[in-house]
Order: sequence, then C-alpha cells, then structure tokens
Amino acid sequence: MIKKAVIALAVIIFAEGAALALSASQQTTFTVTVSSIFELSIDQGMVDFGRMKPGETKWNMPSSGVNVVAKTNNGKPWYIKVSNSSPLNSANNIIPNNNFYWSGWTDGTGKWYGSASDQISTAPKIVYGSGVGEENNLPNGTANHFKFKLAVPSNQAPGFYMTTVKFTMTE
Amino acid sequence: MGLALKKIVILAAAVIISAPLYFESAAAGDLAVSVAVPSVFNLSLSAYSVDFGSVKYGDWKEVPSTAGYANRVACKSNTGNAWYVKIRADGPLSSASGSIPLSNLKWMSTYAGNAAAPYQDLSVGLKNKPADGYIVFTTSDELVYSSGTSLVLNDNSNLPDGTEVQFKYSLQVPDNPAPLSGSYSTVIRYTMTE
Repeated sequence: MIKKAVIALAVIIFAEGAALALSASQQTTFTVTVSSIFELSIDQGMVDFGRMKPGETKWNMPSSGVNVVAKTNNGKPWYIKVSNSSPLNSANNIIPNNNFYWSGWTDGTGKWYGSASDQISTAPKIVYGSGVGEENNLPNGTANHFKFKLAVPSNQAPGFYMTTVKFTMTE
Repeated sequence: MGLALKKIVILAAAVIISAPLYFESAAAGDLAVSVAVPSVFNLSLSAYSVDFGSVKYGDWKEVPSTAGYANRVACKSNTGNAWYVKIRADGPLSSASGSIPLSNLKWMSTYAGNAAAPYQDLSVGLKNKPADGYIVFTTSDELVYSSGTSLVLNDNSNLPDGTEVQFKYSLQVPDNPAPLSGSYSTVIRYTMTE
C-alpha cells in the first residue's frame, strides 16, 4: 500500500516536472499565387500555296502541317476553333470560302471535330475539345496539326490572294 | 555627603528616564524585503506573413527582401538553461484545387547573433550554416539553432537584447506536373524549447 503511494507520488512529481519544460511558439503564413496560363501558339505564320492555275487544286498545305499548341493550367475544359477573316481576296476579287478547306489531326486525348472536308468560314467552327487531364496540360501543352486545301475556281481572275486564318482557344 | 547623595539620585533619575527611549529605537530596526523575478522565455517574428508573389510553372523564387533576410526570429530567455529553435511546416502549399509538394519549399538560416549592439555573431549555434544552402521544409520539427554554443557570448540567458536568427525562403514551382493556377498557402511554425 505504501509502495503504491510512493510510486503514485513519484509519477505525480515526474508529471509536474515535465509540465515545467518551457516552450514558446510563433507562426508565419506563407502564400504564393500561381499565375494563370492560357496560351495558344503556332509554329509558322505563313502558308503559301504558290502559283496556281484556274481550276487547279492543292492538298495538304503545308506538307508538315501547321502545329498549333494549346497550354493551360486553369483546370477547365477548353476548345480550339478555326475561322478566317474573309475569303481569299485580291483587290475586288475573292475566292469563295467554299473552295478553301481545313483538315488535320490531334496529339491530344480530347475530341477532334474535323473531317477531311471541312470548309473554312468566317464564323469560328469548333475543331478540338480538351480531354481528360488536359485541363492542366503544362508544361508541354496539347498539339493539334492543320493542313489546308484550296481549289481555285476555273474562272478565277488572276491576282495575289490572301486571307488570315485564325485559331482561337476558349474555355 | 548630602550633596553627593543628591547627585547620585539625579543621575539615577536620568538613567531611569532615558532607558525607555533607548529601548524604543532598538525595536524599530527590522525590515523584511523580497522580490520575485519572473521567468522570461519567448520568441517573436519580424514577419507573420510571407508572400512569394506571382509565379509561373518552373519558376524558382526567393522571398523578396531589402533587409537581406525574409524573416527574423528573436528569442529571449533568462532561465540560464540551453534552449533551441526548431522549424516545421503544417503541410504542403495548398489551394482549393490542389497543392504544391512541400519538397519544393525550402528555408535557409543565414545568421544568428546578439540582437543589439555590439551584435556578436552567434552563427556557430546554427545547425545548418548558410554555406549548406537551402533546406527542404518538413512537417517534423527541424533543429535550427542551439544556444550557449558560442565562446564569444553565452546566450542561455540573453536579456535584455535576446538572440536573433535570420531566415531566407525559396520556392521551386513544379513544371511537370504543373500546379493549377490559384492562391496557395501553408503555415510555418517556429518553436523555442529548453
């Protein structure tokens, strides 16, 4: 009985001794803002069909394709659309858009909406929708490849025709 | 003879009269004085929030500072015992949409010294010297500083100036996988123990 009391007292003394150990603490909150990345890049700014005769058609221009890379870390689904600013035109003459086609393929995991015979239009048309995991595809991004086909009408007036094709990335 | 007896009686009367006066002044001489000096054991920080600012994937960034350090821990003790400063993180930098692994967040103890003139250098007490570079944060207490190790000044008791330990911090933003855009935060804890 006495032995138990002594042990209990020793435990109490030990516990009080432990409670006397001094300790002080302070804290700092660390913050960082990871900026939004939402970028679209192309590897070439010019596609030249060269000299074409009325009635002539050229496919697969450029031969290597135009490489369009989309990057984002926003965590949301995104889309790529294609359009042109106006039909190919030279002075007062135009080559209607129903003679100008786009095609291509994707390296991504999402959905490719194109077929082999999609006409360019001035209204943006959806080409690609991001797939699983591509809501944040840094650092390499998702690559899509485009080629173009042009059929010059058989009665087309001579001239140097130009248009601007736009690729748009949206959420 | 009659005159001599009279002188003795007067002297005895003087003794009898003066005796009470003597005993009164002797009884008023004692005064009990006591004081209790409290224990001082605390630390304070120069910065309770640290912001790396805006970063991109792949960036490496130190906390901007014009003072040469990003944070300063001031420790005071009068217990006379050796004391220690330790550091740890609560967890990785986190946001609602993800986290940046703690292995990307690092600290460096750049200096330790007396916190007032003549500012004796006590960096010998640092476990990791500046030359050791940045140390990865963990969620376990990591020893930063041990008091009483300098031959220049024993700072086990260091009042009133205290001892300061200076810190720098760095962040390597991952690039693969890169973090989602957003605001990330974590809490860093400094502990002073005996």
